[in-house]
Amino acid sequence: MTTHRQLPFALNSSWWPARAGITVLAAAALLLSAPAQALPTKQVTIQPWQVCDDAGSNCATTSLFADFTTKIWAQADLVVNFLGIQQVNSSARLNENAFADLGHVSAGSIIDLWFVHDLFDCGGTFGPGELYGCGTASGWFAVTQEVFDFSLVGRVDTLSHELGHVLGLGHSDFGAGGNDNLMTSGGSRVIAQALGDVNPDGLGLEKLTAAQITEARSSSFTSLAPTVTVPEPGTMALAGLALLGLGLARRTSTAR
Amino acid sequence: MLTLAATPVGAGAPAADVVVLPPVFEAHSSPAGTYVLEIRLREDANPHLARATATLFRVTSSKRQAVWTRELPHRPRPRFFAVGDGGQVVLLDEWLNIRSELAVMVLDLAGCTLVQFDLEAVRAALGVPISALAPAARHGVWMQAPPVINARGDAVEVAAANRVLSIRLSDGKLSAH
Repeated sequence: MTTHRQLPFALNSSWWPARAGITVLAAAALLLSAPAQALPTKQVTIQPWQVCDDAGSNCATTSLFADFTTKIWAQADLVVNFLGIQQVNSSARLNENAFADLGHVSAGSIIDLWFVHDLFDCGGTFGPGELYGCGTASGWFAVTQEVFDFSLVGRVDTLSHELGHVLGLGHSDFGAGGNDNLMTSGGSRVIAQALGDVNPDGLGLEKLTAAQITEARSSSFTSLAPTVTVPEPGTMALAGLALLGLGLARRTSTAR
Repeated sequence: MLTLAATPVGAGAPAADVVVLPPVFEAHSSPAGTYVLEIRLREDANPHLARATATLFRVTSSKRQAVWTRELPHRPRPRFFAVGDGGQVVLLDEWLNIRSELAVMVLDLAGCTLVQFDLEAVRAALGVPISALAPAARHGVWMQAPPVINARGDAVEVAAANRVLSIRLSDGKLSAH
């Protein structure tokens, strides 16, 4: 199959066809060395708060489930940055009766994550059962001790699930609802217990649909991640070839 | 020192990650009503750990007699169960929504474990890739529908990965169609 690509500059007719070989070689090398089209990486920043009682004891268990969080949100080309865990002493917050009392306390687009022992309210939207977490698109979410009691490795996706709520995703919108989807409600969603079962591997759990990815990435809590480009050896070789071609072209032109 | 001055809930309604606990008590009869299996949950234990007791009863026209009682290893109890007219019991998956070592367990008339299969064994019997299980599942990680005992009464059948897994009651052998 032949692929036609438009060159990023106009060919000077006085060069053609004498220097065409070298020029086309250089242009081809430049085109080939251009990065492939991909979603620009976005990021969110989370401030975790570990709540303890008034005396600074009996602190809530914390874990960022970093490997799982990273792999789950990599589906959306979203980098999750965590600031250092800060301690807050408040017995009332440790066993919180009102999710709204936790709130968004960090500046700007920094999302707050509250590790509490127990939570007895999630905006009135849950019935009887074990409450693992609660999140709101207003910029904060909470995770309870139940997450750590769930199994030996814990309910590793609650943090990512609640982050999804912060980023505007619900339990049944944007294609959620399947047992393998990250945002499906807790009673139906299957929880990965090994990284090898997180989508796209193994059982393909904690899946995000294209619509969910689009919605989450459009949240005001996301921003473009700084790009650090490290050229691959092949790319560097092609770029060198391009420079060599351009140099040869100039030398030929000067010699005449 | 942090001052807890929270922003009121506004733009986004909170949403919970919550799991409703299984019923404290559930019972199923065999097709002809010759046996009844009861599963009872202990309410005072960790909801994520094993805490169910199963009791099989033989039922005649004149009485109902306990055949065996045993603790179950499922967390906190099996998701589904069925009992055959020969008193064999099939326990399917765990209530906890995870990849389970207890995908299928068959108990004999004495309440002893005849066979036990993990999810990989179920996948192999179905003859599908592991990635085909969860997308079709409606109950846990692999089942599309609750189990049924087949017309001949000799196997429990479960839809999974758009196929049907058959569990033979006499020996727990898995097959698929």
